[in-house]
Amino acid sequence: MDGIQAWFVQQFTELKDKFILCFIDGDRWQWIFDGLLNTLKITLFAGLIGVLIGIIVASVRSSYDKNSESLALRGGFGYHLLRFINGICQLYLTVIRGTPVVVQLMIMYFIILKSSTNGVFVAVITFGINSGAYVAEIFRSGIMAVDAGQFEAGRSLGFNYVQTMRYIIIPQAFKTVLPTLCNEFIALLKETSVAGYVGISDLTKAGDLIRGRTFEAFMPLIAVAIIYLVLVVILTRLVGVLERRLRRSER
Amino acid sequence: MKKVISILMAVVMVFAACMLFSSCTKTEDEEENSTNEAASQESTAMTAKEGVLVMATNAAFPPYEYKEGDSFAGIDVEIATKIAEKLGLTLEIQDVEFGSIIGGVQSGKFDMGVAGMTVNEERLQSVNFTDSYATGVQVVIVNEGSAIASLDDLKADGSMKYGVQQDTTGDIYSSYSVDEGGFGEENVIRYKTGADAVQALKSGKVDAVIIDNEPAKSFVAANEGLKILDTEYAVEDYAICIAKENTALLDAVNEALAELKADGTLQQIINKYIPASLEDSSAA
Amino acid sequence: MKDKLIEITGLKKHYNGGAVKALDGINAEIDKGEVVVIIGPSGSGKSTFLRSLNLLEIPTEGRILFDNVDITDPNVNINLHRQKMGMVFQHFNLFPNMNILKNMTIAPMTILKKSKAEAEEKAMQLLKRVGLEDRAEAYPSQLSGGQKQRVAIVRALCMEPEVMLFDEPTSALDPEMVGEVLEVMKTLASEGMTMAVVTHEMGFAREVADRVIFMDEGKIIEEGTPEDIFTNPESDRLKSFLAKVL
Repeated sequence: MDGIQAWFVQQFTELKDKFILCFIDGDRWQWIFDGLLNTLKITLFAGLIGVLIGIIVASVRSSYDKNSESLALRGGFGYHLLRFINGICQLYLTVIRGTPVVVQLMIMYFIILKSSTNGVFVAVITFGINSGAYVAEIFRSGIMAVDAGQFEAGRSLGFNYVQTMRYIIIPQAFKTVLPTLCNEFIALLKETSVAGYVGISDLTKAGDLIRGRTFEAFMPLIAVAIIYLVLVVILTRLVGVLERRLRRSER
Repeated sequence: MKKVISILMAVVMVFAACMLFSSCTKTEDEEENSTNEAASQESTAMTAKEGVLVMATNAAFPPYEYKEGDSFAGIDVEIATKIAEKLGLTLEIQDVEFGSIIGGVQSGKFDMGVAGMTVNEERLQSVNFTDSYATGVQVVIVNEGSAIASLDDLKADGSMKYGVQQDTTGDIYSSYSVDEGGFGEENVIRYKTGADAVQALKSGKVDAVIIDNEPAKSFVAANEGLKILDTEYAVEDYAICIAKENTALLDAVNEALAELKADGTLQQIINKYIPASLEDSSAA
Repeated sequence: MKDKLIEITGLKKHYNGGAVKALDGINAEIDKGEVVVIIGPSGSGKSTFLRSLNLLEIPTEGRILFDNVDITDPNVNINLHRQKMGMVFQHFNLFPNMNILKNMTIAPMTILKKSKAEAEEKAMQLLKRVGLEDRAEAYPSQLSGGQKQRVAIVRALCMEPEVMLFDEPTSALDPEMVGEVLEVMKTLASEGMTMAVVTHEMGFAREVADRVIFMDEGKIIEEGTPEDIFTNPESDRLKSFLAKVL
């Protein structure tokens, strides 16, 4: 019995020592804290940019899908312009969704925004552009999922295309895409963990640094994993609340 | 209260299971080793895999280690090959991140780490080091025409950023606070490879790169518009790291190194990669 | 001399480059205050014809004059003309995320820039006429099919249209609810509203229609007063159709 007790005491002491080594010595917890701040900053602003780009691209794409028939008959400049912009949007979606985000990040950091000295800014732009492609398709599928009769009812009352979208289709689409949109944000949060590739000190990089300095893998990696997990759980809960509130407004 | 106790119990159970498992695997290893010992009396007991010497390195550190096509080359690679020969083992090279080398050696995943690694206090807490086989010099690379002309121009007031390869000596030294002789965490940007740090220097994202002398020379030779400051940033010894409990391998490698030094092989290898005029920086 | 409201000439709607001819040269007119009922077997093109009148279907060829304006002209702002053409759908198409009052006031407030009070007063008046004033705050999902369709009719009336288009308004209803919807439509007809109705309700056609149009295979086969169509059908196709439905 004493043996077992001594064994547990020894294990506990070892764990405590490792904890102190990883987080207390040299104020290494500060790395985790700063890294977490950067991760949150990148995710938040990239998410906002992503939604903005997503709305624009989804509008163009669904306008093209819904109006190309009538515009083609009318022909002229408007039709060709829409077709051209739609083509650009499609190219954007193909390129962004067809390449790994870490490659996009390095291209952005070392080539396109090479004169920028602010790594977090480069990450915000890169992840924003990346997320925009996914958000655009989420919005578009949400718009397409609204019954065609809703669109016809709006148009038959005299709403123009934009008004129909604004007042009738998008409010309904928003509800259906909310869970998927939330998943995209969660994916974005986790994807920002590659920011360390270009020298940005995010949460993952902080854990990596502690690992490199202490040669201790367990503590820093588990700590980082737990922080991500907590963030994701909080995010999921928040959207759950929002969803319930939206549903209540319908009853 | 009941709930708390049951959670505690669960945690303890999981913990105990982990410990049991890890001790089990250890015994298996030991068993394996003892059978190895029976099969071949010589040296195989020192390595995890029979007849194989597993070396961990980060092959992005010329001229010490780098990739040449599909195979590895460099001073460390050649020295390790010679050591393996002397020990009658086959050398197996694992290319991993620099920061993962010591952990892997500690856990027995790799037999030794040979990666232009400097001996320092922090590392000595985790692993043993062999006798030094070369001297490493940390230098500062800047853009030609940079306002930085000497070490005195390197500022830690936030006006300058320093690029380093993550977890290397250059990273550790420059990340120290100003009081400790570094530039402070906030002024150091850590890249995955030395090449990335140099790339960042060229595009002006950092003002200077602090890195080992030998790779620095390769980078400056390969990139126009870069120069190395005349004064070294730091000078220290390179050695091979081996798990603390594996003293048999440590002794054997030290013996092999001594022989290689005595017969001039070590010097030949270094001369092959570093021009003769720079010999002084490689003697040990 | 009657007042022409809608005049259709040479209307065609082709799919797949002409392989499918949903409408194959329609000429027709609807006068002010007239109730026109369009009948025909399924797939005859009667719904396509009705939906072409406010350009929910874009015709391949032909002209539609509404108030003497050719609305098939690409340079005409169709939204302005659609405001004057109320439409009622088979599946009601109420906005599920808005309550009944909001369903009825959103268009007048947004498009006609009516004040909230004005729009709501008008909506409540109309709801009262169809006996649903107590459901103003309800959401569409809480209403029966018949109630939904009555709301859909008054929602269109909120825009004060010059003509009402009904696309099989009772086809999706349980039989016991058909009567309440037809009752509303009869009242509307008696008040002088111009109406174009696609329906399978022959009783309604006989009783309310000023004129009945029989369509098959994208063409108008016969048209005339309910008398002519139901008691003295001329073509074989109409005769066999009536034999099946009556």
